[in-house]
Amino acid sequence: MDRLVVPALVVLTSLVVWALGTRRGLSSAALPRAVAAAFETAGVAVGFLALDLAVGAIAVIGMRTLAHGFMSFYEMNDPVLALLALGQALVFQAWRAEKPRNSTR
Amino acid sequence: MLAVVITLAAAFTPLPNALAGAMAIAPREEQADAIVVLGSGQHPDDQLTDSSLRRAVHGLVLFRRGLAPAIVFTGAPGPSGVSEARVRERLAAAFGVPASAMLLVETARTTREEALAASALLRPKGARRILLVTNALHLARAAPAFARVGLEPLPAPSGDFSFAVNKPGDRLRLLWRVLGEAAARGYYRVAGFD
Repeated sequence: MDRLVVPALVVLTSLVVWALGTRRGLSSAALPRAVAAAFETAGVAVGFLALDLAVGAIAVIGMRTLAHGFMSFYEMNDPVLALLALGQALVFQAWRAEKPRNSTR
Repeated sequence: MLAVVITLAAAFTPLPNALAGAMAIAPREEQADAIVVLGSGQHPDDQLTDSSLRRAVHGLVLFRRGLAPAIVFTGAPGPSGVSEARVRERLAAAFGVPASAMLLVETARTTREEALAASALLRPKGARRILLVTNALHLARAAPAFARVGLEPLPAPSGDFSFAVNKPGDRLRLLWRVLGEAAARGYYRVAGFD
């Protein structure tokens, strides 16, 4: 039962915001596209996270083998990296959304 | 879409628990020549991290059970210059472990370096059979690394974290640990450290 608290909260607040949004003129028909866009952004965030980790691993190995310095792999073991990857994805998606408008210039 | 499905599956199903259980090494806590407690970091104020403290305490428990006459603490210096190994030594001394039974490895920063340093320290004393203390996931990489340098490691998992977590965030953290350790094992295999 305890495990349902988090998803139940998300469902509840989503329903409340959906109800408020439709009353204020937002279209329910546009919701699936919005969810799909959110899923796409999540996928882009995972891609950025994988890229960040791969580049970090190469940097650590390079520093150890070429520069004979030391950096721990555990430096990348930080939840903030996932948040920053999400930020990268949000910016990237917003940038992509700007593309058609910019290309007409 | 796939990323969301995998994240939800990891957060709301026992998938991470099953993966961790499959990767972990079972304990084999038997009589040995020495106990080797691997490092896990310290904070800038020289406080041991939670996992470092858990490993140290498990090492002390094994020592108190009389499973080995000596205990080796590893751990490199923090920003203050005091090593994690030294902080653990002070803790052990406060719990009555005699100084003559404690050995320190203060220079090693990786599992591979810990294995090499422990081997250099113990083998000249005729000690080969060791109780290796770290978490159960790390043991799967650490035990072969220690065997590679001529020691006979007996797994003594310290339970740095639970495999029975059931909150979504805890499960994601567990999956993160599993994936990180899997990557590290791959690296050790390619590098020839195990």
